[in-house]
Amino acid sequence: MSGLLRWIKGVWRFIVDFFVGDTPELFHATVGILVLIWFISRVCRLHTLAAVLLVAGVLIALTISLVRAAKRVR
Amino acid sequence: MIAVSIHSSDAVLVAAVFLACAVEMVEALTIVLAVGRTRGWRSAFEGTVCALVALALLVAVFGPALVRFPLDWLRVFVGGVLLVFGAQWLRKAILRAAGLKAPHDEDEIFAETVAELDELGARTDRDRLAFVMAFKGVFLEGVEVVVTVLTLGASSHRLGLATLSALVALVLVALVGLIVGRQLSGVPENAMKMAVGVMLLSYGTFWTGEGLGVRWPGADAMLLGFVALYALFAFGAIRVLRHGVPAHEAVS
Repeated sequence: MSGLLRWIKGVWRFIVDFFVGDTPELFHATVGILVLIWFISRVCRLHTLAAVLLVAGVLIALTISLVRAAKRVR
Repeated sequence: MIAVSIHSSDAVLVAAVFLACAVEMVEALTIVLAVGRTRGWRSAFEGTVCALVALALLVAVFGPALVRFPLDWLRVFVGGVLLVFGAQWLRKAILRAAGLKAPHDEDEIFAETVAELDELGARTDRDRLAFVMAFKGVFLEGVEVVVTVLTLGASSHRLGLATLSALVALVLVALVGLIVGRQLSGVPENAMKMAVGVMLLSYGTFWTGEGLGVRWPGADAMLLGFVALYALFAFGAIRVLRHGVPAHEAVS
């Protein structure tokens, strides 16, 4: 039983590391963007705004992550 | 006369999967070569083949299962995965191109792997360590390719085309590796990674939007617009980040 539990934990750690890696900010931003776009598009029915915000959100998240990485180096 | 119609989405899909697979397989090849040269080719070859079979099984099991998902949810899920992956690939490639992150050096990785294996003692005829190292190297590098093949292939109902594209890249890298007989350090890996990052982000944006009810102007052609937008962003970011970075400050 404990062997199975360890195996499940190992697989879970692998999946988390695979998707989150050393950039948790990008993962969290993507989840946030998806929820926000779902709300704007599906609930508010503002499809054009959702499209614009989706692209803008990706670019902003990437910019923030890059700036943080650059600051860490400098 | 046979009319040939190539959709922009198919072209982006083939290019993204081919480049992603080529980059990952170049990295896997370095490990397999290091293992083969240090501990013998038999176990390295067996580990590689087993890893490739395991990766093919993943595609065979999860591919048909993904296709059965309701299309909108599949696109949101796939889009989200591609956005995360694409952003990670593009971020890394931008940082490397700007000199803020040490470039991926196949020669260095080869030397490190050989040194690590040398330290681990004498080898036997059927070397468990060599098998595990080769298996791990190919499998871990290949999982990203599998995710790319599954997500891009399933969401656009082109699983066969995506798999074929990955296979062509795999065979090509293996053939070049066999002919050259050494790690492929001359391959412009970072440029390829940047291209893959741009394409994954483009697909991610496109499918996420489609899954959430956004109707893109120009339909599939909008993908090319995203590719241009993210490529422009990448070049702009590199220019800005390069400014004032002394080479010796690059992180490893």
